[in-house]
Amino acid sequence: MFSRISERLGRYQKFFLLSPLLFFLIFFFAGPLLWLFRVSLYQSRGSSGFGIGGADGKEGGGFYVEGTWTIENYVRFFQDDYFRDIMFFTVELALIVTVVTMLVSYPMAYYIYKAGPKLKIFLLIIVILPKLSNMLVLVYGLQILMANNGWINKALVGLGIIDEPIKLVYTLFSVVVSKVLLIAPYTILVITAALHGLDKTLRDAAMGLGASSTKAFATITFPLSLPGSYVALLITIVWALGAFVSPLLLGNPDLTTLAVEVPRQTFENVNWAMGSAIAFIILSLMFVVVLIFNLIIGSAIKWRTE
Amino acid sequence: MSTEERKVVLEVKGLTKKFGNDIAVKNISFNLYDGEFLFVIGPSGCGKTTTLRMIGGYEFPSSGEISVRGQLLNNVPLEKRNIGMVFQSYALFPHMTVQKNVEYGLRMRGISKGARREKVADVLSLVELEEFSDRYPSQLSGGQKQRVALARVIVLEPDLLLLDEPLANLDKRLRDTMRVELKKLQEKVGITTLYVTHDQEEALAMADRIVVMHDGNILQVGSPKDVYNAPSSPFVAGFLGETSSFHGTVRACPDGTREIVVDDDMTVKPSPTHLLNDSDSVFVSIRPERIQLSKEKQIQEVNCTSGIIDFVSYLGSHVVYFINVLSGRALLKASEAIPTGEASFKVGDRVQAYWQEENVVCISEDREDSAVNV
Amino acid sequence: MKRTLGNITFHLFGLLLVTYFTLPMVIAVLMSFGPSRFLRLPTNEWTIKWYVEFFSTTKWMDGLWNSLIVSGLTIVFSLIVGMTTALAFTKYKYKWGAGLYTLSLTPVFTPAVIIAMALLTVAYRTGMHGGYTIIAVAHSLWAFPLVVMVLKVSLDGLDKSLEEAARGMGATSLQAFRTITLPLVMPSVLVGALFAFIISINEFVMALFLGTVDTETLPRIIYPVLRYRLTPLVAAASGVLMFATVVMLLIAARLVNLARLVQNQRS
Repeated sequence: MFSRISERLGRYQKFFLLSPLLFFLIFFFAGPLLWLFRVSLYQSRGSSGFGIGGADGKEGGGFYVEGTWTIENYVRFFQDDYFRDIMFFTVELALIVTVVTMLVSYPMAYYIYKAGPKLKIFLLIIVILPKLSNMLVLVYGLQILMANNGWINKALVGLGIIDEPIKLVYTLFSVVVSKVLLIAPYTILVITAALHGLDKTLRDAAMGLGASSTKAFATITFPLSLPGSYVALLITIVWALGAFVSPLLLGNPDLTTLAVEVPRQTFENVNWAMGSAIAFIILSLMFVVVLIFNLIIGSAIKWRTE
Repeated sequence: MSTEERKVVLEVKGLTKKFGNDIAVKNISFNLYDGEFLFVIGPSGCGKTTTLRMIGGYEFPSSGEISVRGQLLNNVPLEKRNIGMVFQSYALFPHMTVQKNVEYGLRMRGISKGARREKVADVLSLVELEEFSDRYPSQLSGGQKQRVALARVIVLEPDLLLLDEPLANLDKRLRDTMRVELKKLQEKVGITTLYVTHDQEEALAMADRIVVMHDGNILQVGSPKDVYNAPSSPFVAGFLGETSSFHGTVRACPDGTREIVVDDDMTVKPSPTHLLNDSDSVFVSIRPERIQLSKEKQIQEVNCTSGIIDFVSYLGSHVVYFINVLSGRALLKASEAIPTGEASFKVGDRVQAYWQEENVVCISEDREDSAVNV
Repeated sequence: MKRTLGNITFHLFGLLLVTYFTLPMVIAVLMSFGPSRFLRLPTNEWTIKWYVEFFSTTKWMDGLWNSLIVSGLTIVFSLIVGMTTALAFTKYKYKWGAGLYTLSLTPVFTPAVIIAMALLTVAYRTGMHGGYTIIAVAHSLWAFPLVVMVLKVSLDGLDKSLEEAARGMGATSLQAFRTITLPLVMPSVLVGALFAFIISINEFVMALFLGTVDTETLPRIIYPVLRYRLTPLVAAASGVLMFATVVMLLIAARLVNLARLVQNQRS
């Protein structure tokens, strides 16, 4: 019957419109990620492998040995102290960055939430500003700020808090400060959106029933903003695990993260299999961490706000 | 004009629409004649809007046929049907002036700019909006937007005009005015129109014929007078206008006629009575304006009952009395026109309510609410 | 008394955060106008010599040019993918629709290194390595979800019957889209394009992995200088990038207003 024909056309139509997305996701995202995993299973030529092969990558071109299947890269990763330390540090850094980011973002988001309309717009622009500029610019600015004769040290010495300038740059401190600055705009916006989505009358009702403004915040506003803040938390930890620019430019060799190690293996050691393996391990870490967080905190939040 | 002489513009046969397991429109059929103003009415969810959308081409029927002027439309795509539709939200293009909105369809047909200008000017004067051609929809009032929406489709001279609750977004006063304007416009242009609404008052006021739908079925098709005075089902009786409804059993009378016993205190005798079967269960409906009240003791034997007035609703031009009858087990509504502004009765009055036999509507409940195809 | 103290701390904290967000950038911009790598304020030795050097050095200018090309391509790719996706999800219902929608946004959450590495291995095999296209593709993976989100909000706010009304009056699907839907969501399209541009022009990691010497974007050229030599030339380069961003912002704002005017005259 005609209805079946037009339905068939209709079905065709809706996938036609979605084809750019599907093409893009399959060929440039999902596919490459799968291929990344495959590459990590190649036998590496070892760090002595020079000789970039043909441009078509045949023969692995010195990057890996074609046609092999092995988990040696993963084995090596987990057996070698060097790699394990990097992994632990990556997770450690991610946790620190997440905590600091949330500590910075939530109050800032609340501040914006409470602000009057003009101030609100001003603050939102300020929050977006780091994203409008180059991350390298920010790093540069931070380097100068935190240098031994930079403003921060000068202020601290001038105020008499310390006698001599302390080393701020190329330390964990600088890495964290930088990474937080890169992530915070997103988390602040997410939490701000979550706060604005709340029913204002709930707080009024609580205060009408006798709660002080602090109590109302603690028992009404904050718990209700948790689901949105939780999303912000997940974003932060996922991105923090992939930290690259901050440790690379403001860290030191002790502060290498997995993401920093990837190009080192890939380009300096020309060991693509290893580089891919590490990248894949970052990906896996992301999944595992999100899973754990979902199980522990996620369910706790749902329970509290139900 | 007899039915056979009028041309059929729209023919709907066996139209059905399923959304998954939900059957929104159940095998309905009806015709629309040239120049007719047909109303499809019913409560929300009865399938009237779905039917309208299928005719316009915005939904695909699950089965059934739709023909306009003899041409089967089932395989004709939406943009090729010569059917004009006015949406409930008017759907005026916000980024275009009234002029551009109205000429849009002409543009799509490739009509030249000069010809477009002329046609638009004509139709705008028809709806009395000539001075507004350079305004944007946001600068128009509700009634004006409505007229632009109409002009936009009328200018294309469609075979059929579809209106989806066009007056729903207007406030009461404007609605009443627009009713008159719409009806006059339709008569002037002579365009065959199908109008969908849940407002039965609108239908009664404007329609040439009414189709009553409920739960995907057509219950009755007829003129406003027929549908109001001779409803074919309890639902139709209750949907149009106000009514008091009762149930009773048929009993034979000594003189060969029959009467309906509702209660000890209330016997209803319609006219004629030969269509009733003994012991049938019957639904009885009496319109409030057909009931008269009196303080006398007993007016007549049948078609009469007594009660106490429980509530008086003052509506300016008339009052409606809510009367507890049958010892408080039922409610009778009687209305009285009050040209002098004074109601005859008040709360607490004991009255006799009576009515004439030709004003009784009775429907056998053994055949109630069956789908009717006309 | 307690309330005011709380208020003061609150505002002080806000001020601190605002400083945290703006200071690095402010310093970088100041440095680009300063005479040497040591920032001493107050100074009246403002100079534009770093900018002059920037615009007269081939290497830097090439970098800028490459950045602009890649950003342009990113806009194109992300608009194509983003617009079709947003339209599809607005118009049609899909099985597992909500899941598919969320899934299609996941690339934006993937860290740059992972995207870069994954595309690198594929790019080499297909010979796309080093070209502008592959870098733009990588950037688009971050950009198109934003286009989808911005556009979807706009599309959801449109009256669904507008397109139906247009079609009822004889417009085909494509005509209805072109004359009705597109003009009405044009502001969002421009905002999406703006986001794509900003992401692309500032992006460093993917450009590092996927580009070659011929297609070095500006951030890539800045990087080694930042790491090893650290002259204010870097600040000037960043200043140029920021300037490009601001220019795009202004253009977008102007286009949004212009778009409205043009529709009224053209149709």
